[in-house]
Amino acid sequence: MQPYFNWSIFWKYLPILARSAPITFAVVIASIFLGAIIGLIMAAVRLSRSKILQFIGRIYVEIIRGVPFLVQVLWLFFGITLFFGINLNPITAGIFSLSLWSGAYFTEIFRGGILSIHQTQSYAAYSLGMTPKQAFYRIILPQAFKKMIPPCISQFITTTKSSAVLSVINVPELTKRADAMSAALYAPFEIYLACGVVYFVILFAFFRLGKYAEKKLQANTLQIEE
Amino acid sequence: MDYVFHFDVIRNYFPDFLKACWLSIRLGLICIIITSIIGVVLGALLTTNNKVVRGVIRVYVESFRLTPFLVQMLFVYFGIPLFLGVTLDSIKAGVVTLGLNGGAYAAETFRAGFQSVPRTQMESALSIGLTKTQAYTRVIIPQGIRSVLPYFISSCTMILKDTSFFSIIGVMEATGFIRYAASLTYRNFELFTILGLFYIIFTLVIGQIGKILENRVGRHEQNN
Amino acid sequence: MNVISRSFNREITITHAKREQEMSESTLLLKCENICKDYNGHEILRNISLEVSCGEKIVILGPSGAGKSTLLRCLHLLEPVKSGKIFLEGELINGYYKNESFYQKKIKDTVDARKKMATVFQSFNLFPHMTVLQNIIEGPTRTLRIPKEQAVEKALRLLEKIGLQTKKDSYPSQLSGGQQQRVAIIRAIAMSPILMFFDEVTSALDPQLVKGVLDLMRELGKEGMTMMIVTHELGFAKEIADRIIFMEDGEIIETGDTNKLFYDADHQCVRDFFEGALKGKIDW
Repeated sequence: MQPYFNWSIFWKYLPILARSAPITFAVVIASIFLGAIIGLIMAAVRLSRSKILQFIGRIYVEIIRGVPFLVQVLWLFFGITLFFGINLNPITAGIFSLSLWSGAYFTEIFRGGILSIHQTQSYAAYSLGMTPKQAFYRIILPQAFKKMIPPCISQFITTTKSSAVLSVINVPELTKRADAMSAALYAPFEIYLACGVVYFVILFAFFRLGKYAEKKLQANTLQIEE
Repeated sequence: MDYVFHFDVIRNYFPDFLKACWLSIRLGLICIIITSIIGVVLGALLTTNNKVVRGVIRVYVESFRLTPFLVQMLFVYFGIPLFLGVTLDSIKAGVVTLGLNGGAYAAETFRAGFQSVPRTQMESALSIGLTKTQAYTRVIIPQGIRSVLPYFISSCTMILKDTSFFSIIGVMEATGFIRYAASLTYRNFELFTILGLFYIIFTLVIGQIGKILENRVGRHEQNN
Repeated sequence: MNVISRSFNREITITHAKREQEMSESTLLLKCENICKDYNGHEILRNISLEVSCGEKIVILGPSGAGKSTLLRCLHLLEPVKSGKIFLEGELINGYYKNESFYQKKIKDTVDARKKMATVFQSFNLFPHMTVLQNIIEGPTRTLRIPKEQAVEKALRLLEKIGLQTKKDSYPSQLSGGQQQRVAIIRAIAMSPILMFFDEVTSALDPQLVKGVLDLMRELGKEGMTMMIVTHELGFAKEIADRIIFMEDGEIIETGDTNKLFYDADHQCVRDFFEGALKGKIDW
């Protein structure tokens, strides 16, 4: 049999698919925003002195990172709703689960960034008579913040990719549209390819941005080590 | 909150669930094997000087890393048979996609490992009369693999988790089975909780193996 | 290095003159009693007691892992001790008594006590995200509340003395190790401390950069600064020290006059140490 590929379908539906990219974007940005807030809180919880709080933070991170996102979405959308007897609409459930999920990764990014600043920097700050608060805000945080930029960009990319899973609970985002179209047109090869291209084009820009940030920061740290 | 727990549902389905879990584990391991092979080979090729080879591999790596795995899988499962006029069962489609997807990540991991081997190692390998290929297979690759092995094993948890996507194209692995059972009984909360537990145990075990290896490698480096 | 000479300053001289008056009856500056410190159940310091008089230069020697650096960090209150008391200018700084029981001090009081002392670290620990000038004025402006112009003026004067005024807007990463360490010393001096700790300040430097840093410390010594120095430069130790403290396994083994410890120590392990150092066998 001859390989079959219909370019006209590909070109016709590429822009139509691209038009549902904003929905994906909106969901992702809302989730990243909420996720970053969760991440900030949980990073503080994980870095706190209380053993109990540390334990709670750890459990949260381990559960989210240990369970496939697909299972979390299903658990939330089909399990929790039944458990509490509430009705969640797919978009709310989608944003909720995506924020909860990315929150765990942000927790680790923020925590890792702060821990990566060596203890000696706080000693130096204390030796100048700074209070722990001053040392954290003036010395630790500005340095940690820089280190967090590349992982945050890559977390954005990962979150966008994970948002495709939300098609399973009928969030009308990019993958769901592609799903529906390919079924209707019976042209899965062309449509899914177009769908992949849309994701690729968006994410490639962020990928380059991440690489750029990484290189700049690396240049800085290399000098410091020298 | 008038939800009544019915954990007896789980008792009824438990033997079959264990079988499905076993399928998940096997699928995961097969994908890890494919992933490691692709990763090592392409990782080594990424460190060569041939720009064309590197360019082709880059395109493969980035196109898999910058698109959702779900879209890749749907593309392979629904698109490829129609395009090539072949039949592809869901397990094969899933394993191929996940192997390729994992391979793209692993290639980058191993490349970093190979490049972390000091250049003097290559020079001294050549100085004792090894060919460049021998230098790679006998000196650079073993050292590079050792240096990134712990990280690679930990990143394998991602592959194990991604086997859950196979349920979307109808494979009856752990997630697929639970979704099926849930559709019959509506005991979603209990069933998905058990499913989550399975994955947590699964990934914790793999993560622990990675940690143990990390300590070993660390000790090895200290002795040197 | 002569540039530095003619001294560090009015700042220090002024504070010292004042201090010398106050100290005329008792020259005791720092005293600690029975300091113990452990880390994860591993004892690092055991019953350390010592006294430092005003203007004294004390060098702490000992094999690696003896707890020398930890001692300095504890004395500067950068790390809490498990038990024991630290007095600065006769005042108990690491705790207080209430109803005859001993409590750890609150963070605010700890910070106030820290400001009177300064530490120079082995790995410089300049703040990589600030320029040289910002590094130096950070302490004076943020914690001593000195007006910025005044702090800048003083920082520039100090920088000029070490010949690095042209580097004021450079980042630490753009300086050599020796330059970074001298800036770190300047940063410490800018706090106008009454006591300075030097924690192996030359260990991370290339041999040719060591001299500049040691010269700077000599200069400071001549100014009358009270210094506690952990170093592996035995020649320098012999030259600058008024008194040497020898530590091993978290304990003070012997303390005394420089010549006595170098050539006629009471304890076998101290004699072994110096003999080994002479033959270059010591594993620092």
